[in-house]
Amino acid sequence: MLDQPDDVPRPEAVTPSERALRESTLVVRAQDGDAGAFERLVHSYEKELLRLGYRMLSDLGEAQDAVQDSLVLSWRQLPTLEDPRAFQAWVYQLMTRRCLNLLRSRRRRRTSLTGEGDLDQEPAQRAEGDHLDPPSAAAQSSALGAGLDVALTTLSAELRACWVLKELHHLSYPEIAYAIGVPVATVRGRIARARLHLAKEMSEWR
Amino acid sequence: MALTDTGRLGCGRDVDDVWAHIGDEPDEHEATCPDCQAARADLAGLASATTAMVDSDRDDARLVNQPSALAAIVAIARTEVRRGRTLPLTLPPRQPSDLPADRPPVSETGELTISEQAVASIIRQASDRVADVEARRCRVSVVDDEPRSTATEAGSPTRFSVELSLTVGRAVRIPGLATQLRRAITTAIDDRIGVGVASIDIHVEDLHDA
Repeated sequence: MLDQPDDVPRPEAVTPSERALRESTLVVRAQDGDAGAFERLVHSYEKELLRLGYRMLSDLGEAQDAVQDSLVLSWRQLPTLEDPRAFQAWVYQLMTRRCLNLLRSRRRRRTSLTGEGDLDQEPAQRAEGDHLDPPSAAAQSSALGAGLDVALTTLSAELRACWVLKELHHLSYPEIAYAIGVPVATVRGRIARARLHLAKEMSEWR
Repeated sequence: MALTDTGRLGCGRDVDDVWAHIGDEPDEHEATCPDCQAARADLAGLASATTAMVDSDRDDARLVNQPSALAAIVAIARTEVRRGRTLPLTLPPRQPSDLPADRPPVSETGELTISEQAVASIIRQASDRVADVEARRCRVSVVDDEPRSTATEAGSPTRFSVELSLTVGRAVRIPGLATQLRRAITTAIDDRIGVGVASIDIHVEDLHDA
């Protein structure tokens, strides 16, 4: 859509100050319409959101699209964010929900093509596309890492989201509850079940 | 396989309890319980694989966004910027008779206006040069300070009124900082926009650690 670079330098773009500012200050400025502050937020979150998307979707191209969609949405919805200190949990929420929606529509697509609603098969059958194959070099060098890589794709989307946010992104239980929109107790239960499932899968794999 | 779907081991211990101190030495019960030992082995494998995955994902050069995609996100934001009010830099004539004889009519020189967002950006830039303060929200409006002499009114510069919210360092003396900040902002607006500043209302909304 709008992928041409900015044509005219705007005041907020020529700001020389790259002085370190608190994240909450950048968030308030972005809410106030400062696109330069938003740009700094984009750069501080894009990588971790992509890692989240990749582990949720197992597809690099889809994960990249989800990052773009979520960050554009964050700009549009920023004025609705009440507490600027909640930005991290909030942007994780936008990204996680985007991924869960994509997984749901994948499942629907598959169901309508095959005429069967076998939801349990969803995780194992990954979208063919930009999968980083073989698994990343470091994970490959450790057999354990590679085993987890595969085991993770056998988790249901809901369990995977909770586990990835907790163990790979170190969000707190309340932050995960907020991101996914379920009670903290549910998050706790899902993470425990995800751990069990992964440990089992991996011990069978070994 | 010692783990069951209930989350409880054969010995009755909760898997979460085992997980909670997987990095520590086994406690008295775990040291002798075969269920706990098997669970600890499986969970330890998961724990180290998890650490390995965090590290390898972070270092994986293929796991990056395209610079063009990031530029597109920012470009979309810029095209959708909420620019706020349009502020005139010169006062319009009330009626033709207001125009002084030695001045060209305003309609020939044209209007000069600036967006509130552009002024806010200049204000933030100026305040970023002042230590121990981070400017946040900014509102700018034109002061309508009648009565002025009608002879000089049309075409003469407007004056701005600014409202600014801040967070300041915990140790800083606020009145002195406010003076310094007002001076920096007034100078920047005069230099860049050429209008005066009638007032700068400052609201300290938070204190931060230095």
